[in-house]
Amino acid sequence: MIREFVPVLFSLGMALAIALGGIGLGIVIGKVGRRNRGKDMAYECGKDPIGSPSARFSVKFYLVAMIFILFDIEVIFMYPWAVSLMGFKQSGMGWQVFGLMLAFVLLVEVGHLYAYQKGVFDWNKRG
Amino acid sequence: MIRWFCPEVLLVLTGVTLILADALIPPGKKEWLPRLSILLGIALFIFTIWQSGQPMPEVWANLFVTDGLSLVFKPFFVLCLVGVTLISVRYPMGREEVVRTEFLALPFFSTAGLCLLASARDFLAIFVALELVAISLYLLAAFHRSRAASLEAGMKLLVMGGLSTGFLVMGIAWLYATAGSTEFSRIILEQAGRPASPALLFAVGLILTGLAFKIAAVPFHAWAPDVYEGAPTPITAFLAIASKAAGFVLLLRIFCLGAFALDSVGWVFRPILLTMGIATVTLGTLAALPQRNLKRYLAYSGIAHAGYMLLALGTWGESGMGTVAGYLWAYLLATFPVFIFVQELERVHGNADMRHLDGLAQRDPGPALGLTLCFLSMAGLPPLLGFSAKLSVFTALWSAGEIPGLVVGVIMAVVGLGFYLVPIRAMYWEREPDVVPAQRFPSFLVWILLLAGAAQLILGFQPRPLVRLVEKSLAPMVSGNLQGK
Amino acid sequence: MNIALALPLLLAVPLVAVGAIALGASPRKTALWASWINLIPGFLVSGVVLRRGEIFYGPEGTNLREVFPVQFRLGLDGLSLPLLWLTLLVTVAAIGVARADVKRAMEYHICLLLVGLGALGAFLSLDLFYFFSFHEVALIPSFLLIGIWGQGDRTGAAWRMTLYLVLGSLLLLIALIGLVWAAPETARTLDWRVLTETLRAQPIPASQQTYLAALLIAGFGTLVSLVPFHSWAPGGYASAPAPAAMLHAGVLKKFGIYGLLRLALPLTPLGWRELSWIVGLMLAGNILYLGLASLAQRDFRWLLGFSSAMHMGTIFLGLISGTVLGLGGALVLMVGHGLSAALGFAVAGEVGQRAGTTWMKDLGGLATRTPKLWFYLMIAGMASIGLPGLANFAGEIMIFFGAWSAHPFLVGIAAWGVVLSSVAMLRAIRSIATGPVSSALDSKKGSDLNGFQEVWPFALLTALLFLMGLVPNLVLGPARPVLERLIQP
Repeated sequence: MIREFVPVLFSLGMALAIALGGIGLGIVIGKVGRRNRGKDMAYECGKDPIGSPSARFSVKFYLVAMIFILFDIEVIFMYPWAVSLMGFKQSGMGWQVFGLMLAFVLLVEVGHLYAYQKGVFDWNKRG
Repeated sequence: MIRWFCPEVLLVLTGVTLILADALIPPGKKEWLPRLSILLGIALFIFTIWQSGQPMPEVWANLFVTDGLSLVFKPFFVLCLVGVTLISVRYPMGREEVVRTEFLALPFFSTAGLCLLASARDFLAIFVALELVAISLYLLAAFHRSRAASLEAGMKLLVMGGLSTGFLVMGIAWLYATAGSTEFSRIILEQAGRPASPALLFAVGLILTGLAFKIAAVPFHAWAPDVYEGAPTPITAFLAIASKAAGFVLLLRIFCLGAFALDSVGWVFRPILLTMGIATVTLGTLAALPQRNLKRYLAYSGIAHAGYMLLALGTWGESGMGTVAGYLWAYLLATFPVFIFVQELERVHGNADMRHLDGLAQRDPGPALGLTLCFLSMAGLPPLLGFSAKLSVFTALWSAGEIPGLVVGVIMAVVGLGFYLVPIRAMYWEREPDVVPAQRFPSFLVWILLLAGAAQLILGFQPRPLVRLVEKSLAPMVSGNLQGK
Repeated sequence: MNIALALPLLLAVPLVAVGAIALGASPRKTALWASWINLIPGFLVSGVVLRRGEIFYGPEGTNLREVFPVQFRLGLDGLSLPLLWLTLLVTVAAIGVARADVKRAMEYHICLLLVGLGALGAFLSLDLFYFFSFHEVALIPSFLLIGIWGQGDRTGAAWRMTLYLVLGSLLLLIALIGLVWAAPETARTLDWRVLTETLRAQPIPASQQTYLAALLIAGFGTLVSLVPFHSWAPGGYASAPAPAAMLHAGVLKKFGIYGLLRLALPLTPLGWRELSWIVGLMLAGNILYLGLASLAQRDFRWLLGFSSAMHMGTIFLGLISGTVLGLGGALVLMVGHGLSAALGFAVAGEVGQRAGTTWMKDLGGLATRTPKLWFYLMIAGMASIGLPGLANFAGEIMIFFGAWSAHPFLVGIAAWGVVLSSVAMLRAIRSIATGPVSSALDSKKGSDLNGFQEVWPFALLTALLFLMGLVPNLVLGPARPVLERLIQP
């Protein structure tokens, strides 16, 4: 069983070699230049940067992103279900398995309803 | 079909109902929701006592069992839920007058996870249930958004919980790699009678580490005091009692009943558990001495209790297992009333500093007496309930011949009495402060604390009901329910 | 009606009184009535014990198969009978001298009753679980009594005493677990009578006996303030309010000796014999070291504290004598010391109340100013140094005779102890009672014991001291068969 993981190990090694190699080559071959304030500044297309890089974003971005990922992931559960539903139908458990997924979708819908009522999707709402 | 009406499903449904009600009912008409949640909680508790012995739905049969341990501990968790709901309703959340419904609904989800944990027999089930518990608790700990301490608590719990889950998952992965299964009985069958491979031991170590975070055992305890102090008090109570108990139920299930109840594992992990127990008892007791905030104080007291239970667990026998089960119930009965009091103290004074206890016995003799009995029970002083718990720990250690654990346990019990006497001293010796707050404790607090104190005394003098419970929890399989066979 | 019901009644009466006081009954009256009324069941059970030798209450049969075989069983025989009476009567006297105008009278009397209740329960219990638990019942009330109503360094004294006693009790707890576990698995019981029978038929192996006996000596020794586990005692008694000191020094401390008599002697006889030289060393420490320390005391309360701890050495000499005479002497001295220590602390409490101090340098002229108090001071002092006719003398002389053949050297030390104690006590009496009347006593407060109401507790204790001194057979008669059985091989 361990043998099946050899490719994984190999690709891990490749990734490490490329990442570390790039840095290592830079250190070995590169020339250490002089530093000044202008050089340490963040590069924004030649303009002087404005404001702090760690500016705060509205929480709505995070909420929407999170909810998108949540509902996105739910679909993952449905693919294997959809593939194997017919098999269950043949063994007589079709309705039960269908009911289970229905319950799952309903639970997800509760979350959606909750988010909707709380105004998560209302971009103009304050707070 | 009827089997779907098990406590876990109903708990989740209740939580969903509460959240839906919160979303759909227009604001201003929600005052009855807290009362509804209390009623539902109590109904669920009664249902669980009646139902916790029933087998789980067939679909789950591979993942869950119904045995003595789940029979005894599902009501434990739901009882915690009822208590938490009762005090959540009164939690002072700042400007908002009515407690937000999410604060009441999330504990239901968390409790569902705890109940699932109590009967899990597969590491996958354990992982899913544990996450259900933990994610709800991350939210709840940070729920008091206007207080920086609460946010800090939520953050610390999230990071520490994530770390512990990481250890656990890694352990499960290693286990699967070595034993080829995540189900307890298969692991036992596969591993019985042969020496444990290093990979298996590594897996057990990782899983133990993950659970040690949950029970706040040394050296994985450091998060507990900060989180307990910052989190809203009902959630602190839930963390300190239900979540810790869940960790121990899992340890019992993994190390005593299934999966790793192997001589080859025990040979390595008995000393480790005992050493952890000794360190935990010592640190919890000594670090509690200088505490002046009641919530931090209870956190360290909880760490010390966890240490005693680890010592009992380390004896690796049936008596040690029963001891842990009984100890958890004694811990619940002694600690929960104190948390109820702490919340009322916060309502009156704004924080849980111990100086607010000064002279309490003259102002409010009833609560002072009840608290005194609870603290002494935690200290393990006879004739209170905690003494029976400590006695059985010591007996288990003696009969297993674990003299170092016994010696440390005894010394720390003495030091422990020293720190449990600190609040008692404050209540009875210190003079009342000159400025007494106008707000008084509500009258129900008097009754709850006196009732709790009386329970300590009565069960201390006649521990038979608890002994019955312990005997039940040791039964491998049960038919019937908690009220009788 | 079953007369054995009087046994739980003995415990119920103080408990009911505690409840009544908590609900608002007059504290002093209720406590006093309860402690007097409690003599009635005391008489009832003593009648049975004198006729039949023992009395027993509780479920019959053993429950060996349970996980946690605790049974609430009470019993009384010739050995515990004198201690029962000591407890009952000292409780009466202690509540008698408690002052009605004390601050927070409700809690004060509740605590006193609980200390008495703990001692009673410990002497009556047959089940080791309750035997141990009842002793601990008294722990927190005495902590509060010293801490709230004490004097001097009350905080330090209360902490030291409580933590020391808990340490001692936990050592004892381990010893008890070990004793129960030493019995064969099928006969494991918590009833010490059954346990004694079992272990007599199948004795514990000698090596195990030694360390069990060592644990028992350390545990009980701490409770009895045996050197080197004594340092809680003198300060604790000096700081405690008079009734608490009376109950603690007079009664509760005897629990340790009672426990050794009950458990160490019959259950671990080999270990006890093997370790008796260590006990001898310790008791010599009690007698000489604490005796010398009592000479150096400048405060009357501290002197009483040291001398009370010192007399424990003599009692221990009786315990290691290995003869019925010595054991009987120890029992008589337990009762005698309980009464005389109670009387001494009561007098010290009154002197402290009246003069505002117990520093012997600041006191003087007690004999002329308060003759009644002086009289009881003399009785307490004389009893404590062992004047013939008083109870302590009877006990000491029996111990000396009983121990002579086995430990002549220790008897010599104990005789020196009598000298030390006489010097200390007489110097104290001289400095308190004679000389010019001190300014402290000269004030209006410094009146004598006033009327029957204040005198009777002192008179009661004095009468009992004389009774025990003149007729020690009152104690020895019923106890003799029990003591004989204790040292039977």
